[in-house]
Amino acid sequence: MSLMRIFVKQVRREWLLQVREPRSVLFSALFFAMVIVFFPLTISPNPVLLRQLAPGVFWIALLLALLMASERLFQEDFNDGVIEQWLVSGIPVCSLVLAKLAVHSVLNLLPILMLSIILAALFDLSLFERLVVMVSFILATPAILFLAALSAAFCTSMQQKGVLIALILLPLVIPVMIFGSGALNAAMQQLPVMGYFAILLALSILAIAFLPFAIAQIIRISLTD
Amino acid sequence: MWRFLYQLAVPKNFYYQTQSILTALGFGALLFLLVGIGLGLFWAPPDYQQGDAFRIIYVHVPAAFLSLTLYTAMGFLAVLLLIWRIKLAGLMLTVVAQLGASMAFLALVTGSIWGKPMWGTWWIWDARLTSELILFLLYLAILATECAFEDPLKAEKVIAILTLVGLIDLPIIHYSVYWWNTLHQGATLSLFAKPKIASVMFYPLLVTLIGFSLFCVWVVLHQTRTALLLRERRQRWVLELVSGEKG
Repeated sequence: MSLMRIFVKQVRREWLLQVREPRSVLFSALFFAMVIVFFPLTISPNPVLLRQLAPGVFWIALLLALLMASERLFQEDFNDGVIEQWLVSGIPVCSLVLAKLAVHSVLNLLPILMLSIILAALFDLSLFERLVVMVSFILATPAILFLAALSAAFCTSMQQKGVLIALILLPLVIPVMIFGSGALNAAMQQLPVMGYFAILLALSILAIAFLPFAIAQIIRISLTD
Repeated sequence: MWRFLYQLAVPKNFYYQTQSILTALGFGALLFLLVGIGLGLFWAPPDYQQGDAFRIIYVHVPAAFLSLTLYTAMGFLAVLLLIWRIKLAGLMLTVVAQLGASMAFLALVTGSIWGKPMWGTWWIWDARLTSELILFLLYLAILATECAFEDPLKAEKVIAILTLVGLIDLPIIHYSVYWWNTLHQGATLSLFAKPKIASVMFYPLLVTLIGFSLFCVWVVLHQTRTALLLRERRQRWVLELVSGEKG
């Protein structure tokens, strides 16, 4: 079997698994909404202030939602023994990881995008600003999710992994967060946003190109005995 | 040259060959630190703007320099471990990570102490401060990962990969932080446009820099030797060594 066919098969498998059991994806989207709603409740309902806070709030909510989603990323496959089959199959693990993460990026992103259009109304964002939020989310999600998968791969075989995933992920993901929230900030000040989009896309491409190898290597080290 | 290095990677050879230079390194570090700090405190004149407060750079700059250098060293060790499978490098990796974290912490604290009288605040979200803070957090993440694994050999390999990912990410973090900062509060940057340092102030700095570096090498070797004995405690050469010392 050629590598391409394996890749497609893996994509179909992940897609079926996720679509037939949509709750995990929906849970993280719901979490995204709740985090966003919490900020006005805890800080201030003042619309001017909320507009200023919106970039940070949206991006932190996205990061946390993807963090939650990543915790289960390799867990079931590890419990079922699927990952062991990956390792003994002789197929490059990085291609399987890439397929898995591609499906998860798309599926996690879709509900969050839909929710963010609606939730942007709570922060009084204009139509153009909502568009900027959506495009920057689309461009940045692969970078964040691949980094989250890296730290999830570290922790799959451990107890109480949630905190450790966050500890590893947060320092690494800072550039994405800065440029992502920077895009919305720039849009609010009527500054050009294409530069931010280009950098986010560059970071995502970098992550997609190199991180699957690192993730595969970590799976090999930490999930075998 | 290569032959020598390969032999050095054997735990037993490493232990015996570093034994001779260890004392020299320790005393060298002590000498350079004493001379450098003595010169810095008494010989160098007070700064015309900052008075005596500037003298903290004789600790601050070496600590900041070493926090970065040690991370680079970790990258090198990670490559040694992952590609050449030199187990000694894995052992050193965790030792260097601890030392690097403490150097980053020292740099942050001394910078903060200097910042209070100079800028009137303990902390400013300046680009260089922020990236040093993030470096510190990255060190902590690496140390946390180390603690989480029960098997030290596994932990070392995982840390090595994390170190390499961080090594690629650090320049990106630095420039993104730099840009983020200059977008929002460009004014604070002028605080960092320091005048070129006079040579009478520079030489003590050079001496303390060498002293700190020697100190770090000494600590790393010392801790690695101790960790090595612990790890290889069932090997024959360690048993011989210990029984030789007893008898």
